[in-house]
Amino acid sequence: MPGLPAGWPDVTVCCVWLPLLPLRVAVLQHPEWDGLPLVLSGAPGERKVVQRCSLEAEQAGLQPGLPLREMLARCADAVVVQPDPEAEAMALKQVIEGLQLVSPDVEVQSEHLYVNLRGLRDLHHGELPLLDRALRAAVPLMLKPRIGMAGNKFTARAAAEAAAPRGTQVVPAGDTTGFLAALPVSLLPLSTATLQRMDALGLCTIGELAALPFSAVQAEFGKAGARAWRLAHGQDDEPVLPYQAKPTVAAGITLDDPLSSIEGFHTALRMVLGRAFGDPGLHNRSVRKVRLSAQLSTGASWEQLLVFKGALMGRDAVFRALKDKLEVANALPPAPFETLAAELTDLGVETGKQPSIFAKNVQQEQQLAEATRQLQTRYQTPPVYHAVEVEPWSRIPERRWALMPFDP
Amino acid sequence: MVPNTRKALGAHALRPLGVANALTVEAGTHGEPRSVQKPVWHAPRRVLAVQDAWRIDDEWWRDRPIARRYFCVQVEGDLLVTLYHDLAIDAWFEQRG
Repeated sequence: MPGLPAGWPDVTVCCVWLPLLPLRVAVLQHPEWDGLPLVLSGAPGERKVVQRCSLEAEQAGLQPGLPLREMLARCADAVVVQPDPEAEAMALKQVIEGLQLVSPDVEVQSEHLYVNLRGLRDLHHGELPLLDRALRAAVPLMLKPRIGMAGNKFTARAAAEAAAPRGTQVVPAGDTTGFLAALPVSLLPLSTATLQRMDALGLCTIGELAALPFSAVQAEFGKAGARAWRLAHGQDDEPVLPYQAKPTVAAGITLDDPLSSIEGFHTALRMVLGRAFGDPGLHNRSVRKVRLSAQLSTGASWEQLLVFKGALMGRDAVFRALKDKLEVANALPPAPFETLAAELTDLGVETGKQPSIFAKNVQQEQQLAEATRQLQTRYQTPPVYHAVEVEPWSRIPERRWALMPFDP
Repeated sequence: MVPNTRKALGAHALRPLGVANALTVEAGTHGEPRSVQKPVWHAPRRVLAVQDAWRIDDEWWRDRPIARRYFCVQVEGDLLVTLYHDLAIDAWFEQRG
């Protein structure tokens, strides 16, 4: 990478910034879109306005918040990209895994990924360009990563945002204050109200803030202002918090024909949860979080992260909680879905469970469950099904009912 | 952010009930069935009367739109058969359920 200093200046943190990640992931899937004005629309069911737009789209006069119908009038060549959280998460995961090969300490903050560089000097023969090459090998070029290296996280982030597209900006620890001085105060982690007050007071650059006495800044802007002042002076001792994958149990189904009804969604959800709770990893474990995702027939994807108030055990309890949460929030898939997957995480230990001694047919159900298990072991496929209503009103007869494997 | 295991989805699909079976049909000039042969029949059976006919067009916005011309026919042996001509792939099926 031209412009990189030879040797290994005093840098300990690297920030890899993936600007406009949702749009760049779309380019990753459609390389022919690179260089075109790209616009991220709202998810199906959301307001039809521009959420984010590429540099080319901004140059064409587009901006976030613009209604989509006005957008086409202003820039007929614009490509509207629908949010695809599934593809985005997958791309991000690949980048994280790649960076973890360079350093085990990788922290993820949305589109900013921090890498701890401590201890890497000898591995790269004391040559920063070699490290830069290793970092870039972990990130697909189409994502247009910008890399910043500095003595702390905040400066590394500022350096990444100041770097040229696909470029690297290195700020040795000794140059931190000088580098930050010319940057706008909007880079500091401050609320909009605080930034507006700074603007009213004529504080535009980080250097102007740093020139004020600490006590005055703290008195005027409080705790956040004090932190901003320290950051402006290159004092950031926040460590890189390594990303750790939590134990997760995942299950999913693929449908031959997309389902659009609420009943169909519930049937598919019950089935997916049945698969997940059949996983030995969930044996005697409780669940706090569920991430549901689906591929929609429109080509977009749908994703919901649902957190329970308390840990839940068993398929039925989780199903009821999910059903209620999704219906209350009106968060069901906005279009017919072709796949449905669930990832259960934040697993806990077993909580108390007291079955009723007066429940009917308990013995019969246990016998049926045992017989089903034995048959499944023998034939490797679900041997017992029960018929469920999927879309009973459908004009297409084979959509009305379906067989669902009996999952004891 | 919830970690994503990205495990492959299982092919444990719901199995639709009442899936149509393929038929051999000889059709007239206007597309109406004249004789029908199910795989289990040794020979085609002549259509004695078309008792009802209707058409379903749906999901035209998808890659596989549905365009079916249904007939409820009486065939030799006094059997009633509900069948349809799948206009998208030009094939005949018996509708069950």
